[in-house]
Amino acid sequence: MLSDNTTLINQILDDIKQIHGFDFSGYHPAMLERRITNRLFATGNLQLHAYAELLHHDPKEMDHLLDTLTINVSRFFRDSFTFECISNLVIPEICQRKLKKGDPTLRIWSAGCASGEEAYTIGIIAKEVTGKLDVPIDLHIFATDIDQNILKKARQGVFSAESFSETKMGIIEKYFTKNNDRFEIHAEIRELIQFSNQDLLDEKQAIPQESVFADFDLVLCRNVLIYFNKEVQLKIFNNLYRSLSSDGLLVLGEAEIPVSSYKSRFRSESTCCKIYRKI
Amino acid sequence: MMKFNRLKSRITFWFLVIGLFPVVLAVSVIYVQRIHSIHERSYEKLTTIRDLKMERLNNWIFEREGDLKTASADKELEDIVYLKGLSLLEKRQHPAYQIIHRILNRYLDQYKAYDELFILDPVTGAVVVSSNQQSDGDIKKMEEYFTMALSTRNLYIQDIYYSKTLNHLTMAFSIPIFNPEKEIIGIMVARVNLDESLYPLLLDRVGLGETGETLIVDEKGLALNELRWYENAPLNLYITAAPAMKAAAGETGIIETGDYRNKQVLAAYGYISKTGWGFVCKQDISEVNAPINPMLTNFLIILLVSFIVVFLSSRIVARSLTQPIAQMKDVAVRISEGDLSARNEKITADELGVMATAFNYMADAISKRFKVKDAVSEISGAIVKAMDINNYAHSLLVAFADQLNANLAVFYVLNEQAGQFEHFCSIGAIEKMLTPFRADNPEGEMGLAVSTKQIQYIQSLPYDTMFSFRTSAGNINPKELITIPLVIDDTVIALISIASLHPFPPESIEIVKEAMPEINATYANMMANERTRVLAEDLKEMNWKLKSQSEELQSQSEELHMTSEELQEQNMQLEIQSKEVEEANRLKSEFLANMSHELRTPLNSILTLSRVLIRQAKEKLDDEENNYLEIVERNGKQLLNLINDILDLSKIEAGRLVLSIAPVNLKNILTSIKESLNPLAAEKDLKITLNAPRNLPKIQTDENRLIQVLSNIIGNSVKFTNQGGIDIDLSYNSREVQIDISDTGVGIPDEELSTIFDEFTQVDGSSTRQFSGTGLGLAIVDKLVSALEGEIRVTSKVGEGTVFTVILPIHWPGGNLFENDPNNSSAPKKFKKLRKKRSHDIAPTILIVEDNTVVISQMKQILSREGFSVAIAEGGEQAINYMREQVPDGIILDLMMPGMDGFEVLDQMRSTEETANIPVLILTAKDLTKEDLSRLRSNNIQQLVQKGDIDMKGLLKKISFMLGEPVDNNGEERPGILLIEDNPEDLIALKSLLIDANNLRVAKDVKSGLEEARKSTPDLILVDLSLPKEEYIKTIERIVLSDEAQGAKVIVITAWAMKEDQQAFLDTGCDYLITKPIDPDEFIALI
Ligand SMILES: C[S@@+](CC[C@H](N)C(=O)[O-])C[C@H]1O[C@@H](n2cnc3c(N)ncnc32)[C@H](O)[C@@H]1O
Repeated sequence: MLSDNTTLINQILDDIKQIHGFDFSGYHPAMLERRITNRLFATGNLQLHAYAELLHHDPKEMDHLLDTLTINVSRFFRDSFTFECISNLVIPEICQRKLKKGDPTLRIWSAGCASGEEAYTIGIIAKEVTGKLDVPIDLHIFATDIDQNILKKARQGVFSAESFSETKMGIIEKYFTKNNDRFEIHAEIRELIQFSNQDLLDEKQAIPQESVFADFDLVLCRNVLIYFNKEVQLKIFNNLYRSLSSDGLLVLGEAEIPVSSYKSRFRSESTCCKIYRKI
Repeated sequence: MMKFNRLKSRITFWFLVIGLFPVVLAVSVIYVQRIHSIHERSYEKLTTIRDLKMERLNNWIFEREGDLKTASADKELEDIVYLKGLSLLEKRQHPAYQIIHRILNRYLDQYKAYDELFILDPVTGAVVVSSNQQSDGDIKKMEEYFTMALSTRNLYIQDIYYSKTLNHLTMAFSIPIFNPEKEIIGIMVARVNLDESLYPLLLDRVGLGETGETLIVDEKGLALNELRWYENAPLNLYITAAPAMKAAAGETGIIETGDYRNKQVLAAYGYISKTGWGFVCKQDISEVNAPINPMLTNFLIILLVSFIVVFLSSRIVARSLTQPIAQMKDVAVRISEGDLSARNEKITADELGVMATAFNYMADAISKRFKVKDAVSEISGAIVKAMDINNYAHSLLVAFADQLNANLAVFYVLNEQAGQFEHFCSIGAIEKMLTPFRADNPEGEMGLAVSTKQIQYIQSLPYDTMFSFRTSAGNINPKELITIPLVIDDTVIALISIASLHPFPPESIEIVKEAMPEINATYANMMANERTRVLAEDLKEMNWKLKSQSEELQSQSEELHMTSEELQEQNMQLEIQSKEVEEANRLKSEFLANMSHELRTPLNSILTLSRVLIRQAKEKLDDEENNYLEIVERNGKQLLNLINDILDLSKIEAGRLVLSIAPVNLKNILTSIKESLNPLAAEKDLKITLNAPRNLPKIQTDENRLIQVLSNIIGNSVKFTNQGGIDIDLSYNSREVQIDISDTGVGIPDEELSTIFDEFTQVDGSSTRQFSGTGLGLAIVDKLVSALEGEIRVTSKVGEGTVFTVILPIHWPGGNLFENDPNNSSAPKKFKKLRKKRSHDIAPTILIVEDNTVVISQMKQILSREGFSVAIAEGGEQAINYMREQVPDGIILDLMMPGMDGFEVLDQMRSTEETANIPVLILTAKDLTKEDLSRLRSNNIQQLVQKGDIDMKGLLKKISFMLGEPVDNNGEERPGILLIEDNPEDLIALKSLLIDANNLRVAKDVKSGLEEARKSTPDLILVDLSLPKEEYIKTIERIVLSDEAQGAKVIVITAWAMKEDQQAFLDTGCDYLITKPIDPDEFIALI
């Protein structure tokens, strides 16, 4: 019964890969099963094979399933303490270091950005911090995701109130315009961020194309790794590692840590947030 | 304060308090008064006795004095002078003697209290005449009674004393006898018999009871008479008790205190001045107080009896008071627990009875309220569930019928158009009979309900009533009937009639009244059709919102789920790790402690000298010998590496392993390993075969580490194989190479296969001894292989052999590498130089052809920073136009652009003469096809860069390669070197390494070294001293800080290889640190 389910699930994943090009094989199997079962009940099916059958005919359900499988939860200033660290310690330190080197740029990448909250957050922070310096600093901020639909939403920059549960009132007032229950980010921030489509597993393209070369000072890849098994995590880490400049910083999600073979190549910068420095 | 939880105990308690208080008070007062009077009486008695006795004592003394005075005044005694100078015999013959003797005896006869009376000669103190003739002639010159009477010329009383002649206590009175000329002619002495006179006086204890006595003491407290409680007291016992002391001091009074026995007594005392005696008359307190005890017993009995009486009566009263209250309490508790039928059964006639009755009423009311509430909630529960009006009316009627025990119930609804109430729904009635009735003025009871808008309750409907109005009961003729108007906006829009053949339960009306508001409200809702529809729509929307929200929530919870799973796993791993680490650390530090630096020092000498031999003796030796030498060196080196690695095992584990990644030819490595092991294999007659495919690619890895791994594995194979051979097979695919090393050796038992990669374990102890080894080899191998991003596996069969498989990635995954550039590591230096050069010359111009502004801005930034001048073309056409005007030194070209794309630009520029040779770097995001590539190749492009697949250094390097910039490496002057070395052997080795240095000076100690430094001002000071660590560090500090060393680099050679030691050395301020063993190549490179 169990192995039956596993083969059926694998078959569904194969279908998705063929039709949409998304590869879910590296996700935690238990999670996949939970998510698919969720759809199973939602569509009123009780048998997995019946649902698999349904997927074949019903492209809408396929979209729905994809939606359910790719978890796009995000918030502004998610884990606000981490972002406090970034704005008070990390970015000032990077700026200082780079100015000393005679390189007045800040290269930031939000990998797996979902609907863009994280990227905009870092945009706001970067703008605030660099605005206080005497020297102008060029901001190059890139945000990528594998999911085209969610990127569309990210580019629009319109959010509902739930996205702001960890955001300070002052920030909302300063950078957003309210429009019947929805909040739109100001163009000055929206234009800072380059959104593009990229698969973190792609070995050929370790970093967003628009950024041309690696050397990122700060890379955020948060709450993406948790969904994947260790092999896939390793692949992602290969790319993340390449993307960072020497001394560059990597920010992970609350529950994430570098995969074992990369542990030695990162140094934890803080005991309470997941900020790592490439060494 | 005491706390009583029960009323009864409280009442009893207060009863007792109030009842007993006066008794106790009265008894106490009387008791105290009695005691007081007893005391007073005994004081009085004792003082009286004292006064009496003292008077008698004084009298007694007075009498004695009188006796003596009278006797001494006798004229006949003057004849005593005639007896002077006569002998005893002559005296006796003399008539004067006889007269005087008779006089004395007469006195003696008169008063028996005297023992003896005699007259002394005032000059000689001899007894002249005595009542007792035997004492005639005795000399009494020294006696107090003689001397005192003589000197005072007056009566003298000698206090009680012990007379040796008489052998008992006595007392003496003496008085001088005068002649008419008032000259003393004799002293008359009377000795008193105390037992006959004084003592009986004192022993008379009348009125002093069983314990009383009288006593006298002299001024020092010495007892003078026999005591009741002390044997042989006179002149022996000093009494210190207060009454005796006070009396002796001349005071008079009465006192309660301890006596000489320390017993409490009541004592009266006084002073007898004639003799200076203290007088005490006393009696024991216990005896004095004796009458108190029976009185106390009586009082206690009275108290006990009154307590019992009061207690019993208070119990009875308390019981009669609390019983009804307790009953009430029980009832209250039962009611509060839900038993609403509980009531007070026993009702007394008093106020408590009234209260119980009131209480019962209250309980009745409450239980009625409850019934009403229950019924109301039943009714509203029924109607709330109703989905539509039909259902609503029906449920309402059923609920009413149920709750009011009704037989039938009808629901009429107002039909506004028709102006009449119509039957809508009913229970128990025959519908045919229920015709509509007019709304404006219905008859009878209905009419009342409609006009008053109040509930109507009619009891006892007679059979043939004049109210023969139409009721819902039709011809049943019920006994009681309730009619309820439903009122909305002040109009009755529906009527409900409920009828029963029996009287309704008493609370019925109340139930109906209380249910009304809710019924009205819900009915209004039901009626408000429009609003209902809106409501439904709202609900639908809300549902939809909720659903989407719940999906969001589900996603979030999924995230949380994953997060917590991830954390759990991390926790678990951490726990396992920390346990393993603990144990491993212990073993490791033990092991490291054994690896002292002395182990490295001799190896260092061997290695350095063999290197020197290779360099210098090459020509003198033949090939074979040279080969041996090289093998010696290679093995020595690897052995040292191994030792280093063992010491560094902690480094690997701590992740401090530094890898230097470069392309490596695997086959060469394996060939050299094979060669080095061949002699050993040949000894055992083993054959090592290496099978490598022809076109095996180079792999990117750390060569030294790989050699370490492979020589360890192959070395093991040789070690553990006694016959057969070792096969090394290489294979590869696009990503990885695989190295299989199989032997025909002893094999590894299954149960140990799983642990062979653990530190400090070796396959069975016996084989350790047989084959020797540290037990670290495979652990290091495993660690290194994973550090090299590879994988190691082992399969084995005991007795058949073992296969180790190492899989390594061909491309190093950690960073970008430039295969066409072997000098990778020196890249940054070169660029610095490039930049420097450019600032002198004209900056090369680079044209960027690119449509993406983000890319342009980044490229512009890094290029201008590198000193290039940058031109921008935002499309193919623009680029071509630019090049017509100006020829850039290089072009960075994007392939995919709107309008003219990169390929076209290339085609065009290559076909124009001026631009045909401009170097081009393609920067593209396009997945290039074969055709693309061949097209590019034909157009002679210099570099190709995939966007997003390079870092800044790499990109800059590619750009400078594109421009074909030279890399300069002009020779520098050779530095002057000063070597301070105190070990002759090491000196030879180091000198041989520094043979090329043209400017080498040597010193054997620090002092001469510094002198030398002053003379020659070297660029470099090399220090290698064998000193204890602390001293060595201090010495280095001295050198670094000395004036002589300023301007020179200081390099320290040391065998202290531990990390903290190294830091300590570096902290001295020296420039470099070389740890032994010295790697000659590295050493020379550094110099
Ligand atoms: C839960 S969201 C995290 C959003 C954001 N980083 C944050 O922490 O708030 C995970 C995102 O990773 C994206 N993702 C999943 N697999 C990916 C892959 N292989 N490459 C790039 N993005 C991926 C998903 O599309 C999803 O938008």
